Amino acid sequence: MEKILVANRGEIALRVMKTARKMGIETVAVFSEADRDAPHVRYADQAVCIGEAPSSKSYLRGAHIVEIANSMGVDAIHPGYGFLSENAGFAQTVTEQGLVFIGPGPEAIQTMGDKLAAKEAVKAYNIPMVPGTDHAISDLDEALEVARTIGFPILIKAAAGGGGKGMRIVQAENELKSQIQRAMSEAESAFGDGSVFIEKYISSPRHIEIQVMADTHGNILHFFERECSIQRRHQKVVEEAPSSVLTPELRDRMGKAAVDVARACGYVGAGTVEFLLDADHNFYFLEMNTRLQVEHPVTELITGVDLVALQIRVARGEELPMAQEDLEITGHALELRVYAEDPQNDFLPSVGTLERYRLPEGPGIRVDNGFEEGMQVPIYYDPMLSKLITYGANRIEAIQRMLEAISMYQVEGVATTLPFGDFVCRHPAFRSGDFNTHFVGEHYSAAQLRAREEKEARIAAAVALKQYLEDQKQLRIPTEN
Amino acid sequence: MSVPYKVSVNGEWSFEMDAKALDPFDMVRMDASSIHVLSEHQSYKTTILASDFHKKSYRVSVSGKPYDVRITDALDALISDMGFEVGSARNISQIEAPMPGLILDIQVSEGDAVQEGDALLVLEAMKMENVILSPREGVVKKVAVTKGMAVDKKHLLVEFE
Repeated sequence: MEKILVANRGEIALRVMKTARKMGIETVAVFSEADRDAPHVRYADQAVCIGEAPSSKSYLRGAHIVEIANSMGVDAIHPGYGFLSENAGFAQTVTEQGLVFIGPGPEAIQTMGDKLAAKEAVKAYNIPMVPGTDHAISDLDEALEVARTIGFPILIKAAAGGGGKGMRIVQAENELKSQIQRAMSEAESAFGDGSVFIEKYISSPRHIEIQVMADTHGNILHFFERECSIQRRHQKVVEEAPSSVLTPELRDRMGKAAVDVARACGYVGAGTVEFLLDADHNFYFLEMNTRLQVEHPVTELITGVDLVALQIRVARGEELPMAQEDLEITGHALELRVYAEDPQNDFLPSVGTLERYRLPEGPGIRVDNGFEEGMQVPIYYDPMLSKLITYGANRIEAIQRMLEAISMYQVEGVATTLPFGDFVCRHPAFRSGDFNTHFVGEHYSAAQLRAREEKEARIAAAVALKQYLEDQKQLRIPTEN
Repeated sequence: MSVPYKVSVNGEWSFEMDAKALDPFDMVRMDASSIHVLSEHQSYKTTILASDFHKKSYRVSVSGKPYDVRITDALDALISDMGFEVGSARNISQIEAPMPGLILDIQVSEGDAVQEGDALLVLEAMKMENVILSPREGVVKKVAVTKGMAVDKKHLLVEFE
């Protein structure tokens, strides 16, 4: 493998290219018209413009990208995350055109991309799943019966729905009948299909995922867990590894379950198996992400492994160079996703020009970054500027380092999630490790961030006034003579 | 005698302060531009990044975050109250894009007379539609964009006569 095309942009394109370069592999970047000045274009050995700014006209044009790869003499394509990374059709086209897809086969992507198919596939391996129905229910009596067997609280979801629409949580028997009726009629009017799924509602879940890596020789390893419970709008913002609540015994069981999930779908390459962990530390299989995750660096820091290098080696047909017993956790790593969005305004995207953009540096600080000072945050793509990752001998050291790194990180021109990261790292619930996916809803309010800012604004006002009064005195001295 | 000042920060906060109001802030100058502050025993590292004595404007970083500070005294306040201030809304002759985005719709054309608050055009940014309103009454001299055009921040949108 001598030349890799990275079908992505931003920090992940750079991240992949850096490892490829280290391995002596040439890199080809692709970019849209909006990204000509992006760092990944300059970093690559070669770069090709693939179309207009909207991703549907550039980064999502799979067939076009494969054509370009072929004409450039590329051996393999790395999809990064997002865009085409979980597109089975793309993986198929790449392979059909005689190129190597750095990722799993199209069948595995297909299976794990479909929730019901995924559940079906892992059935034989005894993977714990959230108790519930495996088929849509449209009969009220059947629904009542099922709900009672599962036990409260339960979650009712419209079978035809998605994105949280028509979801209801039922806490007790006395509200059951009316809630199911309402959920069904809501589903009927919203989707034209009144059938529902019923499952156990996990009330204070933590989101724990296991990194796995499989080679083409039948070896599947797990690289321990990442805790991703700090989320806003059901999307992760702060991640860490290891989790503060997993015992070695539980870690081992979850790791084995994740390996089984990978085996169930004939997985190859890097993947992530997501679990929910309830308050009693029972874990349930959620889904498998068939790509490199955004938050993979925390795993790299605690295991000392370069996951992209392993992906490439696996894609070259090599055997994984280590065994499960060789892997161990050293220290603690934390990641903050630095998004151009305003934590004081519902985390809405904040676009504009990066008038000042200086990254923090120092021991235990890693920044996977895709932007530079003076650049605009394009309106067309995900507004993530970078990932700020810190490492320490233990959890508290990693947190303290994160606070320090946040204060060194200078961004002007757009609002970012940096102040939110600061809030999280100072919050007693996060520091003690006692938190779940409801952290933002339960503990965070824009007013708290605002209050802290107002304190600083007052300090700034005092300092400026002091300086002004001193400047005034200095100016007066000559006239008094 | 203590002169009261109005000190505004980032245009978002406004504090009434005089020289005496600085007393609770324990400030120690470290060098020409750095001042260490103790306020309610909390420690803050501050740096004066830029200063303009005549405009009474200062840029101060507190714990790494920059704040723009403007000081107004009684005389400035009086001038502003009497409407002699330069650059008030009435004098705006150009409307610029407040953020990069896509022009979805244009409601005015050249020669149109508009009132303050009338919709001029719709700018889509990050999947949100923002209606750009007229900040003044006047006649449109020029519409500098077309429907479907992508604009950068500060791109000229509409010019008034």
